[in-house]
Amino acid sequence: MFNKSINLTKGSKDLKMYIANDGDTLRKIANQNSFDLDELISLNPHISGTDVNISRIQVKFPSSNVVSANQSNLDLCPPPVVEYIREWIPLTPLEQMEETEYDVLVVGTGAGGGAVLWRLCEQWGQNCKNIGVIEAGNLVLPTQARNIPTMNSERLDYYFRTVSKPLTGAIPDYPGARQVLALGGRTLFWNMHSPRLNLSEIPEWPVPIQEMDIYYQIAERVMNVTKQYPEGSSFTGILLDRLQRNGYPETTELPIAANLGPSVYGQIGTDVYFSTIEFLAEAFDRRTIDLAINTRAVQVLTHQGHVTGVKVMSSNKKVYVLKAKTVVLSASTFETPRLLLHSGIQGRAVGHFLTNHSFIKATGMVSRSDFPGVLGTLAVSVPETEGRPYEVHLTGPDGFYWYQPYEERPWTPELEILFTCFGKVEPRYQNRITLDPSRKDAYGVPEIQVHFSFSEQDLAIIRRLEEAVERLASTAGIRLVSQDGMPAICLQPAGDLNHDSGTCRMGTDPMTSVANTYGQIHGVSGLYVADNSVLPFIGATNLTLTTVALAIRTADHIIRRGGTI
Amino acid sequence: MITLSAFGDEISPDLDVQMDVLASEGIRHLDLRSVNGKNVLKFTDEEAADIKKRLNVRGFRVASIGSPIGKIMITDDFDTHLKEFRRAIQLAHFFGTPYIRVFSFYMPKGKSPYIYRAEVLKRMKKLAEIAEQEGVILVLENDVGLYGSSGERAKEILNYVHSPYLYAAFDPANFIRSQVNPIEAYQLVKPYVAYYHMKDARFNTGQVVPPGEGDADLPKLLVSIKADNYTGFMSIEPHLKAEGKYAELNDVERFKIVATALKKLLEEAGIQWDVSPNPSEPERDLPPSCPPTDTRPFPTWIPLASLNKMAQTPYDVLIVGSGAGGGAVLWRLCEQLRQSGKRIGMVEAGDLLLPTNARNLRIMSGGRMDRYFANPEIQRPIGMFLPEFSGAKQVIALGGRTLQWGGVCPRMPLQVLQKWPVPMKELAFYYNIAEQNMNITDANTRESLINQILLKRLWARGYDGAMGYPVAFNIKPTKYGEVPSDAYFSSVSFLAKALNLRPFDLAVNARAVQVFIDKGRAAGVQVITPEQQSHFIHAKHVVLSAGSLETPRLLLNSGIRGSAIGHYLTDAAAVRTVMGLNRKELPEIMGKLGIIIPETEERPYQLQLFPKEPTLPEQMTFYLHGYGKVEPQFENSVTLDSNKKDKYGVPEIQVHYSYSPKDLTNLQKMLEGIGRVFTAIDAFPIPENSEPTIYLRPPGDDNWESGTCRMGDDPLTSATDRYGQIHGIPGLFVADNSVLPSLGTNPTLTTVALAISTADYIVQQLK
Repeated sequence: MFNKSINLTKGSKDLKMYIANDGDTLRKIANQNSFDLDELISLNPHISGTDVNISRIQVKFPSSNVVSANQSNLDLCPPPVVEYIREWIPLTPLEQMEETEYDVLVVGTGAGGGAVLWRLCEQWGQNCKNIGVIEAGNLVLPTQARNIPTMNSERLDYYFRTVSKPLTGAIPDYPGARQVLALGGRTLFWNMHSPRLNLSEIPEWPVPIQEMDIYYQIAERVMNVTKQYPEGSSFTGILLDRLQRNGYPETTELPIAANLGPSVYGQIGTDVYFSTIEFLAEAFDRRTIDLAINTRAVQVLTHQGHVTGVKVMSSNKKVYVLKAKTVVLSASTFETPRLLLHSGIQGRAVGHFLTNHSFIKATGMVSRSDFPGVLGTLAVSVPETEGRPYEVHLTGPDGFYWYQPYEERPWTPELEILFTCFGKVEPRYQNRITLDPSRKDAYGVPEIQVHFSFSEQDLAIIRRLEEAVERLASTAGIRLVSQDGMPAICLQPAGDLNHDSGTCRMGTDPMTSVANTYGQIHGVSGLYVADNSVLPFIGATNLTLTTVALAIRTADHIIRRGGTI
Repeated sequence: MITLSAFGDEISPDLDVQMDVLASEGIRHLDLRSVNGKNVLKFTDEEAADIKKRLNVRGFRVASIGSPIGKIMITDDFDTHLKEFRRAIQLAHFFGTPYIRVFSFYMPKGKSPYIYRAEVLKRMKKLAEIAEQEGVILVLENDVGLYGSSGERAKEILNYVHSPYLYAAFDPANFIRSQVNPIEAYQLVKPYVAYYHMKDARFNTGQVVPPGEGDADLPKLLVSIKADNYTGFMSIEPHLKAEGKYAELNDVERFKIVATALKKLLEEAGIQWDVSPNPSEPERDLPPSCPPTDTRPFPTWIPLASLNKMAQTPYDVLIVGSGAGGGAVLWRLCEQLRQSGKRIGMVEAGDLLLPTNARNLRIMSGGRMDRYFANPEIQRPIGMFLPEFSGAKQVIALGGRTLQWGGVCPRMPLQVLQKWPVPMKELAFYYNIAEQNMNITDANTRESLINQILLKRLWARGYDGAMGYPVAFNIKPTKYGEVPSDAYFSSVSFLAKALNLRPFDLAVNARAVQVFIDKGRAAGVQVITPEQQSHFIHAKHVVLSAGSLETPRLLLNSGIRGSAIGHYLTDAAAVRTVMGLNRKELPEIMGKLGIIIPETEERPYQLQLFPKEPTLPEQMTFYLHGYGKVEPQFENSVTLDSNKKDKYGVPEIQVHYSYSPKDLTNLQKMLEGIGRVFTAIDAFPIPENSEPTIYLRPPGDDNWESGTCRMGDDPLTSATDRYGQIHGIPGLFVADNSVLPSLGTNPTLTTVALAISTADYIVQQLK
């Protein structure tokens, strides 16, 4: 094979043409190109002399010294045989999805939906089950926003506030709430803090603690949850030590869902910060899935207490009926109960028990000189404990808690620390979403109205939280400061924190819960919920990890039941 | 339960007096219209902060911003009014209320309001759209002389706009003063009411009277409100004139009369209102509300400028194209001109596609990257139309082909560079800068065992230049908050660097069609959008970085000719084969294979070894790519085909490309050389289909095409000088693969190095 000779005999007879430039003469062209002048003259009888300026005149070139590219006797590369995809993720037309009866159809691609999908694909591999997933939003980003080289904390904030939209019906009780309608949902923007709930503080928790431990471990593994993020940073080390020694022994590094290891050359895909796009990637790596975007679920279809499918609408308002033996709703705390209520799936608790944390922010300053050596980054959590119904995260320095290497981090004598404080809010029946039949969206589905207020107990915790921040700051040697119109300690509007939950809470009593302990809607077989709305209690802790853990458990339950009933 | 609020400025201009009186009435919500006689929209930031602090201390909240928005003539200028509206929104956010009271524009006297219907509806819709973006709720108050002073027209506005950000603030007295029956009007606008201004008036005199004493039939209205379980604000706005039986009373006393009358009506209707706690114990123990975070629209992952704006900006430098060359020029200019105030712009023909090299995205694993770029709409197989250059492809998008670039970054061999017009010392300097800024490293391959084993075998057989190849790849882990998620370099990485240095204007979907020359100098570029809108962008310096096919096309279409423009198209005669090694003779952990055998005087070709996934259990498979040297030839060229034009009206290109006998001799030598390499490293050929094959890749398939605007000292054989400036046209530069005078290895690193040098030259000229 290595001795193939190159065939030089079949020289191309195609003549080459050249448009002469100003100042060109035949002689000059012949000299420049090493042509035989006589041959050039004979080829160009329309040119009357060898030394005339022939600007803009066509000149024919001798062709004997060129061989066209395919004149070697090597085989040309066969064209690549790949079925191309139109977008960065394979999509399936709704017309085609309508022809399939799905074993499982997932509605929504946020943390809950992504986790269910990943687990089903991981466990089922390439079996003959049909799995479908629909997403109301479009493709917005193919990875977590913080992984994008052009982002910094300010641009990320602007971008989030532009991509997300205020939640319709949130005003006036819940003015801070926003929605991200996109593949991946709010995980495209979340801050990836992934602590476990302190379940010892929640005696009513409906799933056995040992089982939660197993599913927390799976969730932490697949989301790359780590406490190593601030490793080696004196900023974290010194403040952690001050707090641990002076009354806050539980203080810990913040667990973050991020793959911190270096990327491997030759390996495709090393998203650092986690989003559910990673769940989707792993799912697609393992098997075929039908995914449709810009597809709005408008009604869950049931027959005699069994789910039979979902009625969906495309962005041009065309209706499709997708058949499914099992349906998993992962559309969010607001959209999942909205869909249930609009589908006539009532229950005393559907849409009720809306829970979120109260949310206090504080700003503190420390001196750079307090932190010798490598400053690094600050990521510390003072978790909820018995008698402390709140959690406080200390992160910093401002603007450089995370940053892309394309930004130069300046040396500053003062370092700004952000206190992010979550207060526990009791789940109450009257905090709820309701449908407002007088207002409908473009798909004809009634808009929601959010009813939310803090109870006396919630308010008492908020007051305590303010004192607690002052105490914590003084323990850690941090000066609380008021700057740029921002009070040193202030209360964010209700709903501003994406910790909304509880509107389809799990439990055993249909009077106070919507789904059973596996996320199945009471009384409707085959219909599951897997998103923040199933969380019956959220303590004072970020909830995504818990939602993912429960979603994986729901997927395992569906697998045990064979994907049906 | 409803909440009572009040326009406190009718009590007194003094905020403290307002709060005293309201507190004594158990009212803690203020409709903020004016303080000390100054309208709310005229508050300075300091005044607003002071008022907010005083309200907070006494436990008062702002129920709504009582703005006069919409109380201008419909014929008045709306744009200036929108600025005031933006201020009202700022204040609403600042005072922590979602509600802004607005009106529906005064009608010129003696004219039918319907003449102005379209304008009113347009303006109200615009206001509601802004409210939606900003997350505030407008409550539309009916008043005398406005478009919406009748129930029908008020309903028309609300119906037409139909937004959850525009509701009605129902004012019965104002309907009476407009000679409209408020109960009839109420039936029309009821579904939209989210606020009540509870005042009463008489039809005959138009006089405003305490609630219940006029013709509004408030008891009937309150029955309906109760039936609807209304839970929002009900505002007290006395409007009681100091005349008749009220002539002797002061403002405070008149306010109290109105408040008492309304409460009596509410009691009779069985409607409860919230009673705030004793004013001597203000609820000061809750922390103050956080001010809203400063925000601005940022709809894409990189800031974009509008072409309308760019057309009005005289640029110091305008870059056409955002691939490796354009990205490098932009970054270097931004780095060197940080504080200078110079204006820098970039136009890209394509759209935003991926925000990072596809290889950085987890979703691109599992073969999806190849499937994605196999989409002819993403990677255009332009070679289909170029019979002699059939492997050519284009990615028309921000970042261009660097979005899927593998990052292999060797320097050009010395024997090639020696013939170039740029002094070696200078080239070395720019190579260093490029390598440092593209994170070029050979650490990946240096530490790889398989590389060490194969290199040892190659070196033993005389391939002493063989080496692990350097790549543009960030090998750092995430540490101390720094996130190297953008590990594979792309031109977007250059843009990100630039973005953090200083502002520049970037427009996508802006296809350059012509370069303009004025008095022998570059003057600007005409660009056309996919919607066929044409813009002229002025620039003192224009840098063309559109690629080896598009840059000469643009020059030729602009009438800029030179004997070498479009000529000397060069790539490599590229071949591909698959090899295998016996897995049992290799260690368990091998690392990544990546070897380059550079071109030398004796070996007119370059060979590269890299892994082919997946590796079988018994053998390790890898690709061998060979790049046979192709000499630059005048005849190998890009020309315009004036018979075929694209949708921008620019003639399509045609390519003439063939290998000379010398090129074919080089190819022959390479095939023999590949055989020797097999022997040297103990590899065996792997049949790719049925038989072992060395395939020839079609010309252009290797993405090495270059030379069509080659640099040189002689204008007869080169298009640009050694700085990339088109011969004889000051201000017009080329910075992409097309400037490379000849090839000896992968071109990208060299193109970037030369682009940085071009940028430095432009910076010198700007000083």
